[in-house]
Amino acid sequence: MVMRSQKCQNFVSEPMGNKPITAVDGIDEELGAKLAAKGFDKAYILLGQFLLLKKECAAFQNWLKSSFDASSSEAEQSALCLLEWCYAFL
Amino acid sequence: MFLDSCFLWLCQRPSSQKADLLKVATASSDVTWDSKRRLGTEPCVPLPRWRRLFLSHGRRHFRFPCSSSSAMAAAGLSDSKLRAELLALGYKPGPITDTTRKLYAKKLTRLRAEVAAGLRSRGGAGAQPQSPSGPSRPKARVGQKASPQARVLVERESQEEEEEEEEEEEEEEGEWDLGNRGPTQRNHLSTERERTFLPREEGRLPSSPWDLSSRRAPLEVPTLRDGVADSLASSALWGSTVTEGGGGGLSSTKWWEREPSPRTPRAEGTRPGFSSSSTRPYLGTESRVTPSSSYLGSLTRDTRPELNYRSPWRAERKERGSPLTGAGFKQGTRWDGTRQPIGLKSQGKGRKGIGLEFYLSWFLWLATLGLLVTFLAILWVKMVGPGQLEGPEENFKLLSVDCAQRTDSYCQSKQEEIIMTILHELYNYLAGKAGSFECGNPENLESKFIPVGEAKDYIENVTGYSAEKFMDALQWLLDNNKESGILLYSDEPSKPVTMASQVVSLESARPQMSLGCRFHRALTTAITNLFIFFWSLAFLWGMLFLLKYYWRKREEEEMAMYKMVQKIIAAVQNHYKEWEQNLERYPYVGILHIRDTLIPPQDRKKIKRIWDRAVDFLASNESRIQTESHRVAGEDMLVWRWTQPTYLSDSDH
Repeated sequence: MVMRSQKCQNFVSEPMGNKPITAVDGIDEELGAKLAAKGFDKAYILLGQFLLLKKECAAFQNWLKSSFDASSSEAEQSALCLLEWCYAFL
Repeated sequence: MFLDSCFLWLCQRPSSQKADLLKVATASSDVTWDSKRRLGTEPCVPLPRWRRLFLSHGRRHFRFPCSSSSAMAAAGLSDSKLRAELLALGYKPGPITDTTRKLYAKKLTRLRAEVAAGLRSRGGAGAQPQSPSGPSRPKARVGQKASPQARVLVERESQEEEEEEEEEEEEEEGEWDLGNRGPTQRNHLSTERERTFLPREEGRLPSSPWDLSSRRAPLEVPTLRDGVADSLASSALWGSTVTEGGGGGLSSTKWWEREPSPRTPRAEGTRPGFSSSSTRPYLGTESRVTPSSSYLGSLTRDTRPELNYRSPWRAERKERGSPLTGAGFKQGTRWDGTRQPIGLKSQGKGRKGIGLEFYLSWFLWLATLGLLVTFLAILWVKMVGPGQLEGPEENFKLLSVDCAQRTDSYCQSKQEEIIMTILHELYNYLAGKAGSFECGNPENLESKFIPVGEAKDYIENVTGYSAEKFMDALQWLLDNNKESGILLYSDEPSKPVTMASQVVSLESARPQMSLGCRFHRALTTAITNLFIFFWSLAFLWGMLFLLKYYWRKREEEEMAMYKMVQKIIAAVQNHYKEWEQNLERYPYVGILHIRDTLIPPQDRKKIKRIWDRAVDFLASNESRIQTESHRVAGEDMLVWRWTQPTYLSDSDH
């Protein structure tokens, strides 16, 4: 179980609004740049992808890992973060 | 090699012809990549535009051999290329995934078409005034290039891609009849080109957040190609030898005539803007976009970066662009014509009413003011009058007394003083009595006349002088016959009093009254004096208010009537349109049906008058709606029929 980091707590604490992709927990500058290059420049776009994958963390992690070479921990963190955000706001 | 030499010859051709010829050539399988390449970088090419076209694509991905329409090309791009293309066109795409790829491909196609059309029409506008010969074109190009706007350059580059795409298409169309070459073939090619453009447009039409502009824009591409490019070409090089440009234009016209397919009218909407003479026969069938509007719209849209005289058109474009769909658009434009007279009419009526109202109320205000002034004047006079008249009474005290009986000056003056005192007291007493009698009579006096005895008693009590003195004073008063404010009466009112012994009663000419009493009296006097005036004024005011109310009612009713007329016209026209689309059985619709559709049941009685007026108005003032008697569902019924064909009623003119 990954502990909820401060970044995740910050992200989940409020509506994501227009936050950049790097505001999502587990997505650092490097991964964020990769994602932005593919058009995922905002957190809500990533959430869209997450929702498209039916909020399935495993599928989302696979997608992140395969498409953007994300590490397992990064993928897990971001999936969890988005999931929590969904619990809070959807 | 024949083909290579052909390419060399091609170098001297203007680009549009070159494109046409090239597409024939490249379609044949033995054209080598090298020859194309050589053509692209050929130093002899007099047209930087042409070269640039190739160079720019050489710099980026070169999609020349790609043999598909631009839509297909956009669809076939990889995600990253699609993204790059969109970014180059100034559009920031989201993630391109399986679900969004198609959308972005479409978007790219549309953007390209739009940009190309924009540059086309701008190029067309710019190229027409200048001489269309070959060498002048590079100059123009340089001038354009020198313009500092980065956006123009971006657009131009993307437009070149678009051009290239078109040429790809042409190239593949060339395969249809390979071997034929020359003007006749060209005619055929141009028709082919048009044909391939149209289906693409058809496919694009229904998908819509994408505005009229994108729909209109690509349509202009072929027409411009034929119209401007060909005319340029023909006048430049082929002018004397072959009338190819004219041939091209003609052939396309012929093609329209030959194939009146159901989708042609839509495309023709854009044609007349460029060459109205050749396409005039089709004006009638133009269905949605008016000729001038499409031209203006495209021109204004496209000349955005360079032309600064576009502003007056912009409003028009907005107005035309916003109500895109359905009834809103139709009604808006259609009613522009009729709404104005209606407004004027009601305004005129209102003005007449307002004029009368204005003068009447003006007059009434003045009259009221006059009344008020008169009233106040009367009031003032009545109230202040007695006060002013006190003056003589003061003077009276100082009157010199004619002392004839006594020689003794002291006695005389003494006598005089006594008389004066008596008279003064008498005066005060009488005035007080009269005043109290006038003001509600609190002492229950029978009249203002005070009997002599009573007055005598009073004077004796107050001053202490004997009755003789009083009589002397009265006699003195009579003798002097001064306006003293004391009136003396004898038994017979008709005869003037001469002797003090005859006096029976006394009266004050100036009753002394309190302020409130005076005011009250003044008020009643004033009101009685101005009674008729006051009432006539009040009556006029009432009239004015009634008239105002009536006018307002009438205006409201009129407005409601016109609104109803508009609704009716819209309903009848819609019905007719639906009939045209085979959604309705009859081209006419029952009057009562319209009424029942437009007016909810609870209102039908209430606005019956308005409805009747609207029907009358329609019968007398609306030429597009015809009233007929038809048997509907076994019942004779008055019906309305829309008499104007839809394509006419849609146009603004």
